[in-house]
Amino acid sequence: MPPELPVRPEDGDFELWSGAEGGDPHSLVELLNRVLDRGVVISGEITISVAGVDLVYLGLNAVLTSVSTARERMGLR
Amino acid sequence: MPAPALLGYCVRRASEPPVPAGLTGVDGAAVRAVEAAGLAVWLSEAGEGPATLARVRDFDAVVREALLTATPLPLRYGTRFGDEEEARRVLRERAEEFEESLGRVAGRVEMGVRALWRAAPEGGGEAGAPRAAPRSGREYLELRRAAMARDDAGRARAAALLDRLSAHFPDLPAVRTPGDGAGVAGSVAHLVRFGEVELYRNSFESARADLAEADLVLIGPWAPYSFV
Repeated sequence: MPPELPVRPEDGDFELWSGAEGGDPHSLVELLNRVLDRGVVISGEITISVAGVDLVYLGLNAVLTSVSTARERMGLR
Repeated sequence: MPAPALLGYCVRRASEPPVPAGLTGVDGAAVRAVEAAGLAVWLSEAGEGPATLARVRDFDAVVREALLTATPLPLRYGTRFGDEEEARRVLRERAEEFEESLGRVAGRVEMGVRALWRAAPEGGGEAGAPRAAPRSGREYLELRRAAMARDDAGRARAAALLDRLSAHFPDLPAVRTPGDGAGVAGSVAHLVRFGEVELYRNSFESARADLAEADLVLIGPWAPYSFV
């Protein structure tokens, strides 16, 4: 019988954590690509919205979308 | 018409550890769990306004907090529910799908590698864009054909690089994302078991030594955004 797969993280699993706390551009790209373009999509009567505006510039209170989503919505794919 | 009231973060099994006391999410709103069908969705009151960088970071911080105790299914940012009953309805209606996904990612985190070309490859950019102003329609078509051939060659080169990269991570569930045709060759995301992240880093170092034509960036750990 194969060993039971552990389901809780171990101490060493997050030593490499490279989320988006810092200003590392690679981390920022990875954050935006995941949070805005991936994850479970729930549709139907549930509203899915990123404020309904697709812009790619960054700025105070600006709307963010990943480049791939923006290009798709602008018909550039 | 106001936007729906609750912002969703992730789905977990109801039997897993609860939302940590005092956890806040986007705009400082308190995070709580709503349960149905043996599942729980983490959510908070949703404010108005666009997806700013701060809000995106706050969202991911909640998902990462969930990941510390058990692998969640991250929702896409901006998923909203009108009220708690609507959230419960979604859990009930999609319980089978969520259970299958949770089983697939249980005990794992998402790791990845992004590959950046050290020297810009020939081609890339918009296909068909001529490099110099053509003097005739025929010349324009010839230039366009050459540009498309360069783009094809660039894509093939990137695919070959990602194949060699992937060979360093055999037997791991993988999602490949092509690059932008210019500086980024592409990236590969993997599902890695808890406790094997260090092994993954070792494989990354091996890949970095092998792929001299690209700079590799280690990514993760993340919640399994790419595998849901």
